[in-house]
Amino acid sequence: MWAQMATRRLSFLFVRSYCSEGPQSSVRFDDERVQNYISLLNGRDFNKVFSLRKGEASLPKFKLMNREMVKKAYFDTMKRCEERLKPPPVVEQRKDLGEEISTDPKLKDFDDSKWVFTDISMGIEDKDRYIVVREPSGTLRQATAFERDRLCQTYMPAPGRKIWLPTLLTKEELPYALKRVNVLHILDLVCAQCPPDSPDYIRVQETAYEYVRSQGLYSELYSTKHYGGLIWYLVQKDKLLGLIGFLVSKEKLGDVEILVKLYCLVHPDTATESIQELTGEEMVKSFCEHKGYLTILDSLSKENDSSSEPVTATDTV
Amino acid sequence: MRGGAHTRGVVNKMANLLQLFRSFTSRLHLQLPPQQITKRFYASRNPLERRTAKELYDALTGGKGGRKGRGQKWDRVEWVQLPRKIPLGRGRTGKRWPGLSYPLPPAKESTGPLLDSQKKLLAPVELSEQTEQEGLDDLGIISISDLKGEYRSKRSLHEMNWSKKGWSGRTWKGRYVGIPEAANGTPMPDFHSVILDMYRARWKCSMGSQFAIQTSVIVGNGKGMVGFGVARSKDMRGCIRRAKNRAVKQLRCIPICEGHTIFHNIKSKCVRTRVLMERKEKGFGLRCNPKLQAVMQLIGIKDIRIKQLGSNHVGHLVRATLSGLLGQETYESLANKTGEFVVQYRTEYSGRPLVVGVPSSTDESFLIWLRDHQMLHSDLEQKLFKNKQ
Repeated sequence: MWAQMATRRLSFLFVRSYCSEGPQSSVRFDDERVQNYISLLNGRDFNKVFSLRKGEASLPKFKLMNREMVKKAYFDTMKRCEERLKPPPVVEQRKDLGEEISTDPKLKDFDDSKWVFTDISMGIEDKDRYIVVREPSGTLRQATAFERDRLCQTYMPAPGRKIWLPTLLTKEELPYALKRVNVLHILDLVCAQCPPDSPDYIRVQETAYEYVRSQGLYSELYSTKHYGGLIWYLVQKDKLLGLIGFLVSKEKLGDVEILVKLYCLVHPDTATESIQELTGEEMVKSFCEHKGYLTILDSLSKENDSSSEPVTATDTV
Repeated sequence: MRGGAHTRGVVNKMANLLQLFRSFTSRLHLQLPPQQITKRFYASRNPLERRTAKELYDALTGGKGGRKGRGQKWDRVEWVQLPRKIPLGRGRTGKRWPGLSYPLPPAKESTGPLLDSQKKLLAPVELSEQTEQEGLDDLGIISISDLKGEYRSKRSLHEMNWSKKGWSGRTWKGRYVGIPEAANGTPMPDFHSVILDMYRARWKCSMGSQFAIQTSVIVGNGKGMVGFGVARSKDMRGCIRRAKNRAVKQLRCIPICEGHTIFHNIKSKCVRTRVLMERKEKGFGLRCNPKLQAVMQLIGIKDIRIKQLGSNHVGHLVRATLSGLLGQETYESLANKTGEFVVQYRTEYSGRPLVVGVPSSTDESFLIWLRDHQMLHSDLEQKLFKNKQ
């Protein structure tokens, strides 16, 4: 329980911008327009963002407030809520380093094992830290990314992170873990454990998002910081049917409109250009016609006819 | 000098005996190994080995006649015939251990017929009436009809479920005594009652000293309704019934904060009894006098600490706590008094502000604003918008 709490709390710390080479599509995740759309799509549910933390029960504090103070308190919490909902970065997978610096044939077979030299001086970020390895063969090289992660954790341990990957997140165990453990917990754990450009991070996130899509568990990630990553994944892979069905069932047509705009931004095309000119429900309808989402068109027309209950679309893509 | 001759004769006899004994032992000493001698010597001296089991039992339990007068019934220990109540090798639950208490069933391959003894042991155990009744008692609360055995004799109390005995062993204090009845005689199934105190009251009149049983009973439904009643009667059953029904007539409604505790720390007093109550967080439990624990359970308060000072009188103790609880200042009354909103901050909800008290003068548009912006506490929201939805 404590570990879970720690990861939940600390996962906010690992939100930082990573510079990497540009992804395949022209628009990147840290683009301002994309971030703006995602922040608009995040449902700001206080009950979920400030949910109960176990093991911290204490006596409450009370304040007497007039109307203006109550309003100010609301806006302050809304700011905190938005900070908490900032999505963790989505970046390209890193390349393994390990360039050779020099070779010294005199040092051949000086020892059985490798020697690692780490700069542990304070005030340097982990990614800028200088770490080199002397091989038993006598070559001196830069440390690989995997080695860097481990050494930084041994000398400068980050709370909530372990030196080795938890078995929960390994390739063999993850499909079973997803069925048993809450998806949110797995995503939080990965955020605390791995840097966002590591292959493990990307693998776990993509399998978790795919699981959410296949099971239709959008409501679990809704109004959490992982919702942005989920949207970005689904938009990029072009698998939006289930998500739109979820939003329509919640009567959030405005959100669908923003989602369509985001889609048009990521996939610039002659068809999407014509969709972009429209607004409101027409935009959504034309998008659904373009993609062939007939179930959603049906439910939209039903809503217009009478105020019956909206039909939830099942993902069959 | 008759006496002198007599004593001399005794001494002579003693001397002869001693000589004989010495010679005997010395002869033994010569003939037998030392281990056997000591064994025989001490065996003859040990009183416990010389007595029979019945003699020893009588010595411990007071002998054949026992003590005369009061209380003779209780000191006597009786033999228990084990096999009558607990069949040997079966246990109370009837659990049977293959290979230990009954033979292993034959393997499938061997097709030989079962022996009669094996058939008998493999048959299902029949539960007696007693065990079935115990199962019913586990439902939670015992009504008076279920406790018939207790009126029969005090000894049957020993066979009662220990968890329902209250806080004082054999006596009635702390025991659940079923549901009370309203004034018109209809039972009130939501309510439960607990005996807080029971003793024999004595007073004098022209006829001499009079005796009766006095009971004080607390009645509550676990949702804030509670009542306290005291009654005297010569009949124990009638006494409990009257106390319960008196308690139901004096029901009071006590506000509970968020369903688990009180609104603020309270000090209160009744005659010589002082009571200090502290508000506590969820999961703290009831840390107080066992009598007050029963009171709190029947009110529905789950987390509280109470320190009791001064007299231990049950009536004063209960009246002091109830008067303190009735005088609490709720969020609503605080808001109305100050004309401002009462806002709550909790660390377990990451310091999210929640409005728990609204002054009655606020207009409806602002209430709706509060609800739509997720600032209202869920309890308050239910209260305010219950009728409109």
